[in-house]
Amino acid sequence: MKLASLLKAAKPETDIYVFYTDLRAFGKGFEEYYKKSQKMGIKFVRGKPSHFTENPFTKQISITVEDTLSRQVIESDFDLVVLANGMGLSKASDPIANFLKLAKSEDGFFKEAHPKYKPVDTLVEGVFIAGTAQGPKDIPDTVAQASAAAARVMVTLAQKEFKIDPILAFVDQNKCDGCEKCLENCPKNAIVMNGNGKAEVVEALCLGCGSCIASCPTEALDLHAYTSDQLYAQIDAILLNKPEGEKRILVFADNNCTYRVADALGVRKMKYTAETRIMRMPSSGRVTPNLIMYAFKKGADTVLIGDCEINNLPVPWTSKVGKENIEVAKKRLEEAGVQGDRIFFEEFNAGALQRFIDTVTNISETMKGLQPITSEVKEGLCQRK
Amino acid sequence: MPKKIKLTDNGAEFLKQIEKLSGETITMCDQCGTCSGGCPFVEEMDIMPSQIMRMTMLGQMEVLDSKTMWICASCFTCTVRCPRLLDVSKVSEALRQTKLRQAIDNINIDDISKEEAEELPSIAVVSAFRKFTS
Amino acid sequence: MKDNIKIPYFPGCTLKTTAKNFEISAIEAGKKIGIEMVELPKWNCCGVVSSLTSDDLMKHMAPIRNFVHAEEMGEQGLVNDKRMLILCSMCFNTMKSSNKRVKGNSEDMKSINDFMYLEKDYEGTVDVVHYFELMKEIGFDKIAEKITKPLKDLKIASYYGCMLLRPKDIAIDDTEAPTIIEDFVSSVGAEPIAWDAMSRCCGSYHTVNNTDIVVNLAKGIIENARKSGAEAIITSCPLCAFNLDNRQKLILEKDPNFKTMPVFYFTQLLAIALGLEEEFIGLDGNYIDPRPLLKEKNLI
Ligand code: SF4
Ligand code: SF4
Ligand code: SF4
Ligand code: SF4
Ligand code: SF4
Ligand code: SF4
Repeated sequence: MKLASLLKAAKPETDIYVFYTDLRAFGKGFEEYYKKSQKMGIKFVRGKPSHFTENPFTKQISITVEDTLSRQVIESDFDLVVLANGMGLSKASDPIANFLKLAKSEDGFFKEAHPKYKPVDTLVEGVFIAGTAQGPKDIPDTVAQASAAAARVMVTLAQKEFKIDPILAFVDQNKCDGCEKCLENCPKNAIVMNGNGKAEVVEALCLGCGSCIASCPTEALDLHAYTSDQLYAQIDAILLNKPEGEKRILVFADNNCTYRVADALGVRKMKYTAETRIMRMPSSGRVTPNLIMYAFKKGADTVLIGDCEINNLPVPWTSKVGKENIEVAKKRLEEAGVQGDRIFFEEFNAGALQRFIDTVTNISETMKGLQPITSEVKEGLCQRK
Repeated sequence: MPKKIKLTDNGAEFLKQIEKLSGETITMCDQCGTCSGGCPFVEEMDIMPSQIMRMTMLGQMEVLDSKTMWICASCFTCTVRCPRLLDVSKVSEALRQTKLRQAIDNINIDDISKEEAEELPSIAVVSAFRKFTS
Repeated sequence: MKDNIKIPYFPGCTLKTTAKNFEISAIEAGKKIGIEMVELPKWNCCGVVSSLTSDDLMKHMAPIRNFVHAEEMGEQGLVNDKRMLILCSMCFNTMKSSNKRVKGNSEDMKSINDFMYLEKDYEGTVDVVHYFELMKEIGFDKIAEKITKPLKDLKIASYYGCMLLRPKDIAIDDTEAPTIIEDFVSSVGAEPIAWDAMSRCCGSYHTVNNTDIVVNLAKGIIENARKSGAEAIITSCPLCAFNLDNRQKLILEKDPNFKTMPVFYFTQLLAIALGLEEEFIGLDGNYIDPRPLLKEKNLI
């Protein structure tokens, strides 16, 4: 509309047509703009052009389009055709996204932490977005959003101290032998080598996802609030006194989504198979092969690793690590001679209540055909007692 | 000619039936006109392909009396262009079938002369009978 | 890549009647470029036109039955390519969409198999392939090497019609900007022209009882070809061919000033360029005589 009225103002003799599907000039003062264009003699035709062809001699472009308001097809030649393309985020945003580990939403724009309550925050703390990085918008909206982002930055900078979550990874300096295997397993590069040639976690960066734990061959890495000792003890308790002939599905539920689903099922009193036992995990990446093997050793018949469907950091990373861990565990099961597919992986969003029920029901069905693992085999599955 | 129409339960039922038969969610149609603009047959039709969509959406069973659905040759030009990924050719087919299943054929074999029949490719005759009979 | 593709071939009824020249030129030219077409020992109508309603499963039975026979040929070792080659665009479209429908729906597959209890079950292992696609696989550059009589200076409008390009999941190339036929035209030494009507429908089966529609559309297509500099049109559909070629008679009746234009099956051009005998080209079958044009270009 802007281009059309500029052109009309500069060259009033041009005959201008604007083809549209739906038209509303929303925003302060824009309706006047629309009216002005109409007054200038620009013609608005409601219809989406279906066909463009070039006349090989005159090089004019012919358009076929239905004028849906008069129900006629217009086929006419134009000297100039301007295509109004949808707006997208430029490719140059990719390196920025990779560097800052920012998520994009389905439409390809940077994703905000919450569309209503946190419209300028991203899921990465301390990084804010504004303007067309977040979605198509006009200048006033961009300015408003940029001001909000600036204010959010001020808030962060004005703080003297940061409070962070206590769920953090830590390295047992006595056990660490400096192999550096853990370094590349952290989505935030939060693990560094210190002066003693040992690994150390930069707590301000650590997200507490637990993806690093499985990579440490000496078990020097661990996660506060989800230490290996705590988790093994939980498995012990969960599978204690399993009656003869019964079966168990042990669900490692990621805290973000799967655990919330299970929680919501309880609140709504929705039923799922009683063979299910749920264990809360910070993420699927924390589910180490050892934990899985230990679960089988203690009497689980199947294991479900529930992951989060959303694509915000650290999820893509943790599910990558989680899947790798599952592959390792599967191999170890095979080597131990355990038959059947016993490890399941499923992604949930916080609303996927019915899908959770269906998933455990299906697992329960397949479990019917599985022989229990004999106690000798079980013994060999995991060194931990 | 301008006229008044009524929105009725029968009409809503008609829409459901056509949606089921065609497998298309007709209410998704934006009335953008891309289908009509590209249809090579539009000059032969009495109403536009987009109007078929509209009338069916509003449950206007008169759409079954239009020539358009018989003219539509399932060339799929509209199918590949609809911004809403709708398939007008399937809606036309569903409308044709609705009419044909009331045992009304739209072609009479006696209308085709013997010479014509010999000259025509079999593919044409088979297609025509598939489209115009049930 | 196999040197010689030996592939089950589904002709369809029209290629056995009005479009014999299409079939013979395809078979003979195929031999020269490494395609051996083995006709299905048993086949029935492809069931044209592809049925579009959701509750019409039975209409897909005819095409599926042909796939059973193709599978049998594979099992008996009569062929070394398990796909099914089709020439006619409409058969191609119909068979490919039916195949797609049952392959994607095990329930439909079962109902159809149950219904055809006298036949073996269709396992869903056959894919449909068009002659153009097969040539592309062999490589148009390889085909160009085999050409003995390049069709120099011959300006060709490549007519795709509807059935090779639409809907998108059936298409052999990009639906709006295809190049496969143009690539073919270049490979036989002719000159492909750019034109608008390459995929505009010819009017299809309306030719049976609504000839006016077809006359208008065909005239538009031919005039567009001429305006864009073409001397002849090629197609792979016997129905398009009929509408564009034979219907020029009616166009002339309506408009005596209309200038006719020859219409070929693409395989006829291939056969000419490969230097095949006239009996394998079948120019007698073309309604508008292409011989004056070919003579002018010193091709016959
Ligand atoms: S992998 Fe996760 S838990 Fe480990 S250091 Fe990195 S962010 Fe922290
Ligand atoms: S993987 Fe374990 S042992 Fe190796 S550097 Fe990291 S913490 Fe230390
Ligand atoms: S192109 Fe699609 S959305 Fe547009 S009018 Fe036609 S059917 Fe409706
Ligand atoms: S499928 Fe029918 S309505 Fe659609 S463009 Fe072709 S003839 Fe027109
Ligand atoms: S599409 Fe036509 S030519 Fe092909 S088999 Fe079917 S009816 Fe015959
Ligand atoms: S005969 Fe007409 S409708 Fe059929 S494929 Fe050819 S162009 Fe399309």
